[in-house]
This record gives sequence, structure tokens and C-alpha cells, in this order.
Amino acid sequence: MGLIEGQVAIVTGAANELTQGIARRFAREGAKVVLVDRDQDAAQAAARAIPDAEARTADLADPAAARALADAVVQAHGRIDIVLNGAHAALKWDRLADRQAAPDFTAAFNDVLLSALNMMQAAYPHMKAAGTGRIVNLGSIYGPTANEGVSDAVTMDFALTGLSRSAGVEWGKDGILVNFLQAAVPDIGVFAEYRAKKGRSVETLIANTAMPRLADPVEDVGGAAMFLVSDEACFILGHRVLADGGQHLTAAIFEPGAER
Amino acid sequence: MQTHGRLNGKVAVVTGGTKGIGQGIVLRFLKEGAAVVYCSRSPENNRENEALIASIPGAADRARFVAADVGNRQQMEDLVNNAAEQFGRLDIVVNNAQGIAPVRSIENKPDADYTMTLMTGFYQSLWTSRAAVPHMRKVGGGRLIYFSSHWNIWGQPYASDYNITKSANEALTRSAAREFGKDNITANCITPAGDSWAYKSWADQNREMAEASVRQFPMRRMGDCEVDIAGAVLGLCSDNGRFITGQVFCVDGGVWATAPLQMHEEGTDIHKGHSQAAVELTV
Repeated sequence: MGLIEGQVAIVTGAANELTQGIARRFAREGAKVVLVDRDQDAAQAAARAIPDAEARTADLADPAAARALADAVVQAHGRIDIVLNGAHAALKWDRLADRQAAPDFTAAFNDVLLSALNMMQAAYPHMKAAGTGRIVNLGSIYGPTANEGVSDAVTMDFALTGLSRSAGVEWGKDGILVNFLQAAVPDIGVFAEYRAKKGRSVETLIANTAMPRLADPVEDVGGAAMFLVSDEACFILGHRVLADGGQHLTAAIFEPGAER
Repeated sequence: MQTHGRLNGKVAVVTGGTKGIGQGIVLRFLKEGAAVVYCSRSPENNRENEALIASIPGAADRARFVAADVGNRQQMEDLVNNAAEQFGRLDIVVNNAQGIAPVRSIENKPDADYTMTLMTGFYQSLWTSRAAVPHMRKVGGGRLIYFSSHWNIWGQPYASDYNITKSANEALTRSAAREFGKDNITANCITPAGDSWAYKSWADQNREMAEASVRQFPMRRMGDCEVDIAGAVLGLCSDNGRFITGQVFCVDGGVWATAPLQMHEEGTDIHKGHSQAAVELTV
């Protein structure tokens, strides 16, 4: 029997390969996983790869869409035990003074921060009625560490840190635990392309990390997510938890702007 | 409480396992399938555990009590090495025990208090870790768990010896994470808020104040040693915690984010509180 047998988990940002790894781990531990993305094809492709998972399409930057999604999941499956806000905004690698105007935070703000907030508020009444629930917001290593050209990611990381802490403090009495999971650089397809171009800087990063490897989405990051949604972290809230093998203690050595 | 065999085949050492949080960890680990070697200064302290462990199916053969002083280097090294020898391996060390001195201001606190708290807290953690790491390397990895405290986060008055010791443990956590990560050994630190023997003893004598302090917890309750505190330790020591290292975890129902009011005054017994103002402010 799995650690979250029979539970219902909404996992947003299904197009993100890291998020898919966490969803796979939830399914392996017995949960019914509902994969959500604004891109219908991406949600369906992600769901096909996970046993018993289903795909739903919604643009969660719209609070009404988030509410409709939560209500539909409760109608179909009777409950929402877990929400993992796993949307990810592609890095633009803009330095703060690169342009006449400030870097464009719109994608990071809408797709990451606002979508997480809307999904949390949409799930809240259902979790409150049940007297229990777990919400995990997903972030990256940019925040605990910074580098040039990632102000959008670092700024949203701190916004999510604050949102997770505030929601944790406000909703703890309802039995709803909100935490913030930050993953190290994951061993996923998008990163393999970068590694092919910039192998030396990646090898340097890995060699400098306490546990010298990239994060496995299912075993490493999925494991830490399980810690937060299972009976293990039943008294932890508003917290930042890093699934990073100690990467936050070491230098961020990627070359800024290397993607251009 | 669900059991899933999360520590089947693992061998753990827990310091101070006969009461409160340590006891909760010992019992939870046994229920999850681990062999557990734990210590306390006197065999008399182990009577309650004997009965509790006897009621867990199959646990008696996996549990070993050792009478040992956590402030004694030789005894701590022996505790770890004998555990590895008896059970054939070592996977987990939980440095839970801590000696506590009377609450006194920095101006009045004797040097001996600092020495005692560092020996029974920081040095204990150092000695057990040094002894444990070679055994963990042999089995391809391991888990080191250290303890800090809320009192340290906020600089709780009149407990500077204790707070300094807990800061040392947090620093040891990060250094151990960096040094032993390549051996697949993680190191993490727990800041618990549990109904430990010290808390219960204080709360029994200060009901009104205990209720006031719990009102400051976002979850509106104190943690249960076995369910809540040991749950987090279990998670970090299980496969789920395999890539989590070098971090301090507040296992406390969220009180870390709100900060509690001062409940102790100088010169009082640690189990008594005198700050009526704190009670009134939280009503």
C-alpha cells in the first residue's frame, strides 16, 4: 500500500518535465493524479505516461478557471487531498539593465505566482471542509542562490516563499499545510540540451554540489514532495524545503545569458 | 498512525531514547522496521520503553537499550560502534539528547553551564558522527540527524548556553552535509515543538500559560512526539529524504513563522513560568 493510497492530487504545470516526475511519484504511492496545463496536448501527453492519471486543461492565471477546475475535480473524484503547483516559466535570461524597460516579469508572475495563488484559493474551501489538505508550491534553486539574468525567477521565488509562509500561518488551524519545495537543477530533457552546449560548467556545478549529481525528478524531487504530502511532514508548514542535495550551499556557476 | 516498513533492514542509533521526543523516535523507527540502539544514563529510565516495545510485534529483538552518558566521548563512540557490530551495519544516527542547565542571564551564568551543554549537545553530535560515518560509507550512505531549538532562533533570554549549543549543531549540520554528501550521507537538523517531558512538566505546572502558548501555533496544538516530530525524522531518514541535506526543519506546527512570547523569567525553575503578561496578550 502506498503512502497516499486513494488520495486525489491535482498537479499543475503538467508540461514541465520536473512536475511530471513528481506526479509519477504520487501515482506510484497510490494517488489519483489530475494533471493540469493550459496546453491541452501537453496535459494529455503527461497523463498518458502515468497510470490512472487524467488530464484537464485550464489557464490558472484566471481565478474563475481555477475554481471551476477544483469544483470539477471534487465532483468527479469526491475530494482534493493534495495540490502541487508545478508551473514553470521559461527563463528569459534578461539582466536588469539589458533593456530600456525593466525585464518582463509577466510570464513568471501570471504562470507561476498568480496561478499558484488562484489554485490554492480554489482548493481551500474543499480542503477546509475535509479538515485536511496538503499544498506544495514548486520553485527552483534560483532564490536560495542567485545569478545574473534570472531576476524573474529569483523574484518569484521570494514571492512564493512569502505566499507559502502566509498561507501556512493562516490555514494551519484548518488542517491545511502549505509548503514550498525548491528543486536543484533536474536531470531533464531541456537541461540535457544546455548540458550538450555547456558541458564544462555543468560538470563544475555537479562536482561542487554536496551530493554530486543532478536531481532525479521522480526519486529525488518526487521523494521530497512525498515527504511533504505524506504523514511524515504532518507538523511542518510555511516552510521552504530544498530537494537539492545541498546545491543551495554551493556556487551558482552557470554562465548568464548562455542560452541566447 | 500508518506503518509502511519505511526503515526495514536499517539500523539506527538514537541518543536519549527513553522519554519525550527521543522515545517517540525510537518507537516510530521500530514500528517502521528498523533496529534501534538507544541510550539513557540509567537502566531505570528504560522501564516504560520495555513495556511499550513489547507491545510492538517483532520489535523486541530489534531494540537495544544502552546505559550511557552523552557527555562522555568514549561511551558515545562505543554506542555507535557496538550498534554497527551487533546489527551488522549502521544507517542512521539521531542526536536527540541534550543536557539542560538552569535559566540564568549571560551575566550570571557560570562557565560550567556552557561546558556541560556543549558536551552533552554539540560534542555528543560530533563524536557520534565521526564514529558513524565510516560505517555508513560501508553500506553506501546514511542519515545524520541533529537537533536545534526555537529558543536558539529567537535568542531566548537566560538560555545562552543552550542556544549556543544549538547554533553549533546547525553549523555541524551544514558542514557534515558538505563533507559527507559525496558518500551519499545526508545531514539535517530538527527544530521541534513537541510535548516532550520538559514541556509536559512545565505545562502541568502552568496550565494557563501552556494554553496561551499553544494559541500562538498556527495549528493550535503542541506536537505529538511519535506522530508529529518522529514523523518528520522518519521522512528525512527514509528513501523520501535521499536528496534533502544541509537544512534545518522547524517541525512545530508553524510557530517558527509567528514567534512566541517570552514565558520564562530569570532564576526560576525551567519547569515554571512567570510571565502573566504573555498570557494576557494571547487571549
